[in-house]
Amino acid sequence: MKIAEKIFVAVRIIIGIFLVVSGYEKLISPLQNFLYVVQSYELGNASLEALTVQVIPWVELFLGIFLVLGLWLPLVLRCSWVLVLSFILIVAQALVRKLPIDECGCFGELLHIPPKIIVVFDTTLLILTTLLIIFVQKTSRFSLDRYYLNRK
Amino acid sequence: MSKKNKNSGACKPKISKLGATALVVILGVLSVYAGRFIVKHNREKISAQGEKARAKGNPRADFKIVEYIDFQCPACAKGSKIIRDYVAQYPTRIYVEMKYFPLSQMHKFALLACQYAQCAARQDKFWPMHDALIDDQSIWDRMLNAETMFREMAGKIGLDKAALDACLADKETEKVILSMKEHGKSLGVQSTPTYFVNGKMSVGIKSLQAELEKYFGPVKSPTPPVVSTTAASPVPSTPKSAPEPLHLLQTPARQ
Repeated sequence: MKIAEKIFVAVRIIIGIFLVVSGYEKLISPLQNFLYVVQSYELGNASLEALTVQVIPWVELFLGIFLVLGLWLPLVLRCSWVLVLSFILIVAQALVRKLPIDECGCFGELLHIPPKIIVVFDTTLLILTTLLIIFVQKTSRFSLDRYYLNRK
Repeated sequence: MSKKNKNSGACKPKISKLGATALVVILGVLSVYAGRFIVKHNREKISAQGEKARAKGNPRADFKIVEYIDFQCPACAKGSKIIRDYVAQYPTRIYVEMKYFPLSQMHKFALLACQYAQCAARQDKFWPMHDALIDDQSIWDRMLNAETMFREMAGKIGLDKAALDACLADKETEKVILSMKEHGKSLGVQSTPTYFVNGKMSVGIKSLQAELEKYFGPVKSPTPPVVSTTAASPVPSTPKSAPEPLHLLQTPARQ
């Protein structure tokens, strides 16, 4: 395996682990903590906030697991790209509106990252995810997708 | 497995891609529920060993709030004022326990404010100190050294200066505060203000207000801050405001 392929696989797995950790931490913690984070971004009505709190951690968890395992990669990478882009937009609007948010709340209690830094972090993730989508053949080494493709 | 199957099955995976997907989903869901069970199990064990906190209101009230606050957090100040308004309006219907959760990495005076409040508690003047800290938070929050203002507050509410100094120097004071914070963490508290309304966790004032309004309706008229020089009574004997509506007295406790 070429070094470029190794890097693509490593990046895919690292992004997957980030998503798994982020989603899992929110899911096993009281959901009210994540609700508070969502409320602080002042996005919309209460039912939308409640729905976000229920859905997003599961989406993060499964996108992360599928990325690590390399299952349904083209679809999962695109969904991850949309998810990361939506995170960037949500944090950016909070920064523009100067909402009093000290930390993004993205990783629950595990990591405390200020909104400005998380925008940079998420933008990096977005660029990397874009590259993974473009070079999906290299990304899919050491993946279940490749395994199933080779076994057909 | 037969020889024929071995030869043909060597190139075929044992489960289909959809089957693998379903397996991953099932394992993922199970791991989350297992994690939740473990966390909840530990949490329940620890919460049963809860420490006695500063309290006001009617201990037999059907609406009990345990609040974890940081005196330097603006939302906590707002939340405390909301609770104060409701307690003033429904003194026999609400019981409030206050616990410290100083976020020292974000707020440099958070721990010191808790120490002053805790020392005031030792002299049975916790609530006057609490109210003073909350009401003037926007002022001392911006000071280079908030301690001068804390001392002024202590003087105004009539704390014994020598006892206060001894208490502030006592390592036990800080220990009590930090153990309360640790207890909060073990309950799942991550940020302030966090409330437990009849045992149900609510984080932030929006959720608190929703709980209060669901139970009591909107508060009728905000009360001015209570700056008292006497000790706060843990159980108010008589309502300070208008009598409570009968339908509220008949409302069952929410769990």
